[in-house]
Amino acid sequence: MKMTEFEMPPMQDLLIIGKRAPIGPEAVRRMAEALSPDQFSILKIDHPKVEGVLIRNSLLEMLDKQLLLEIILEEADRLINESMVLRAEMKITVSLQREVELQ
Amino acid sequence: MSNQVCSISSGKSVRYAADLMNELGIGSLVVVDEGEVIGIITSKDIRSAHPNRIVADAMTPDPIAVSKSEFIGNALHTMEQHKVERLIVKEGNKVEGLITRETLKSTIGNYIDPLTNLYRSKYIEYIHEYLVGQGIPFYLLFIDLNDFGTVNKKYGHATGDDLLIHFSGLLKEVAEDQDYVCRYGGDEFVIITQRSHQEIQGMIERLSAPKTFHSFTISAAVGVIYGYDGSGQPYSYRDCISTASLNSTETKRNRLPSAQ
Repeated sequence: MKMTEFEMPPMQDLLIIGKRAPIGPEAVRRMAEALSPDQFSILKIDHPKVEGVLIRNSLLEMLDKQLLLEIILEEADRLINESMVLRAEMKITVSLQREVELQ
Repeated sequence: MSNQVCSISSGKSVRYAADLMNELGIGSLVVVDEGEVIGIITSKDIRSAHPNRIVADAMTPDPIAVSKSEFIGNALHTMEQHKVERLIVKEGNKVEGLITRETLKSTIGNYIDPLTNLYRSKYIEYIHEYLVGQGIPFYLLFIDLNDFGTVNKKYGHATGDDLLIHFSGLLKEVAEDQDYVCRYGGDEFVIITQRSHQEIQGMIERLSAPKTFHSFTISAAVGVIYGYDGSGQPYSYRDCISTASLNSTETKRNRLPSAQ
């Protein structure tokens, strides 16, 4: 027997859903809504391999949706095939550099 | 239409939908959630989806519906416009059945004249009933080829048939999308149009003008009637045909013989 703790929610920041994956975008949306209400959004896209992306709302608040999708798809394209669902973690770090005038 | 409308909820699996379709021997299911039609899933959708998916991820969302009283020609036009194979048939908000493109085409096919590929008179009668039922204004044109009998006697029936095919081509050219053209019988044709009185004058002139076909000249007599009387009451199909054909006969009397 192997026991591990069930992660809540079971997805991290992203789920990238292939066009022929065993679970589709609507099912993923319903699952996310049931497990973490109001925390995720599903973005349906027109792509040769990917049907949709489930994405944490906090990420969408930090970066433009289109820009996020471009980055996600560029990276996922190398790994994903139509029948896969990829789970991904995405951290956005903001680096600030400021000059201040000393009194 | 098929009166057997079977439904499924969007949360069921594609596998379940496939089994249900096989069990019932049907090609599609209406997807209903909380009494609301939200999609339609067909055998084609099932073939292209993973069996583990839920119906919501395999269905065609927001299916197009037509009213039960919708004219079949319009239903087919709707299908072609939206590139769909099935339409939901509704009576008010209640789903009454499903209609497929195949069924519509074969139904309309029964109303097509094999020689000219125009509609048969029964179909035009149906259109008349539909327009009258909807209160849509229209004109009915009765077109009669002049001296067609002479052409048959002088040049043979095969040439007569060629002439009918040729003239049908002209009728199709003259007609627009919203016009309905039929071969009423023999050398008589009917057009039902929703165009204005001014617009149909051009049609009449074009159809009446003498035309050269092979080695002879042929023309047609056109009689017209507006579908409603002065008080807005519709004329019956029989009255429309009768009056328009009498008008075309009157036109015939005032012309010189052709097909010489």
